[in-house]
Amino acid sequence: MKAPTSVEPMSQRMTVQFPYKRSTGEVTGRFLAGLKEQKKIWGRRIAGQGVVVPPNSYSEVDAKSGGEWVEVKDEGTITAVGIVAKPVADLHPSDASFAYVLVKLDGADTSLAHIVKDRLGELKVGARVKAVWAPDGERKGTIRDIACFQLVG
Amino acid sequence: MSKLRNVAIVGFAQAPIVADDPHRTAPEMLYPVVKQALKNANVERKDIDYQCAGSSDYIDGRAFSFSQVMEVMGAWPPVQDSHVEMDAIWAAHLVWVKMQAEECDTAIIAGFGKVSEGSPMHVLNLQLDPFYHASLGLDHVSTSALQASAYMAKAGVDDAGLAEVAARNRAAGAKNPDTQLRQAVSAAELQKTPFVTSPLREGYLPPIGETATCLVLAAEGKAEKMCDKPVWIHGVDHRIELQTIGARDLTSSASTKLAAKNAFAMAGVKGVNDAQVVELGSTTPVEELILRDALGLSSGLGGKADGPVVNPSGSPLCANPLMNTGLLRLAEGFRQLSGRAGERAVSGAKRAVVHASAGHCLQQNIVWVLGTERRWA
Repeated sequence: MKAPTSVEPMSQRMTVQFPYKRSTGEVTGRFLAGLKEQKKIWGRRIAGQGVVVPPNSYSEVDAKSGGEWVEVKDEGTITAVGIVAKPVADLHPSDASFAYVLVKLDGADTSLAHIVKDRLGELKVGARVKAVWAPDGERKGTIRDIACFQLVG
Repeated sequence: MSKLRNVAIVGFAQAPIVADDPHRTAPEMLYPVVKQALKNANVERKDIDYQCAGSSDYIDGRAFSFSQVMEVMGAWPPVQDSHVEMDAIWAAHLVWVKMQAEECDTAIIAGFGKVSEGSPMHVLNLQLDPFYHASLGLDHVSTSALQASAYMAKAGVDDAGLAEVAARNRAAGAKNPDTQLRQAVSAAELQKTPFVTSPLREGYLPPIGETATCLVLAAEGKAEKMCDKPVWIHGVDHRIELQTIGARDLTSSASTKLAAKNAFAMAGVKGVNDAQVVELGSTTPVEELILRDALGLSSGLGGKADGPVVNPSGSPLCANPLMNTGLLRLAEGFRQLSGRAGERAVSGAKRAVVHASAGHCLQQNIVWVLGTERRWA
């Protein structure tokens, strides 16, 4: 008997998973604790950038540590918006069409990435949105402790 | 600028860019490409000092994925090898630096990645900050859409403008036998395609594609023997921006501007208009408009065509095989300046500016200046 001389394309399905328990570090941790424990959004004042929200462990501009903690509002202005027509399973945070937004919160000098689920047709750069908080007892210390943002008015 | 070593592109080969090559593994796709690139440079593997690949473990779904192509690239008997977890155009930069250090005279650079085997949306999500961005499920189309919306609001460019840029690239791609989408499509037709993530429509985004590529670089003294028309590297620089998307000005590309300024200074040219050809690694129409602005080119909107020819290959909008997309831009510069561009050749082209990008929303950018003559006497 001879080895097969030709084959149809063959493939095997494999799922490669890497579960992690990531340490947030102190700075991200304090920001997330503010969401979870206080329903407040904290940023840090960084030389050359102003109030950075969300804050990083070290300045992305000059790698310095530190910076004064500053509370910002949970309401702000959309600086960018993209509406996802068909969400991808196991990736996107909604089964129905939703929007990603960048929001410059009042008191902040940078924009926070988040989602909006309602009134998608009215979303545009310059529109005002406000945070919708996950209920007490359901906030886990993640960016999704802000459940989403919604249009003001 | 002090005198540097003259280094040239002397050969290139690629596999056809397809949505899915179901028959072959990534190494099997690359193997004939390396052979062909060596043949194109009139050398055998033993004549090559150094090899460097660009690939991604996340795309390949395995650790140290580059090790699977070491034999394919010819690492026997043992030779010097390196790798970048980036588009292979950054491997070319690494090799150029090695040649400046006189650690090697000849090298092959390979790009590979079977994009169809995994899910680019999930893979590219992993490039982002885990706490603030990745955990929101952001993917490369969504971040590109955020950038597009910010740019359109600021620049006053509308949906028709995006369609015009995309159509121009699709028309160019129709003349490029080595790209993936080779049918011209009108702006009006592209405007009818559905939104994937608004404001980006299906027609304003690249297809899923995969290939394998191999570029041959050689220093002066050897380059002339390997190629009838070596294409010399006159200048190169790359720069990176903040990772936090919301902390950047997404409507402009400061890193491209700076990389271009430094590459132009190294090349001794005043600016982009000293080139006849510009090849951009733009994966959306908005990226092209932002890059044009950063390099000092006009938008080209409204059918106005002044200055150098931009994206004669059809750009990544016609083919975006991850890990190869950038190296294909460098290959287009080589093809245009060495008389290998066929029907789409830009007549009289003597200098090219080549750009490629990595990360979300043009996070990192590299700019090359290429020429038909040696840069340094």
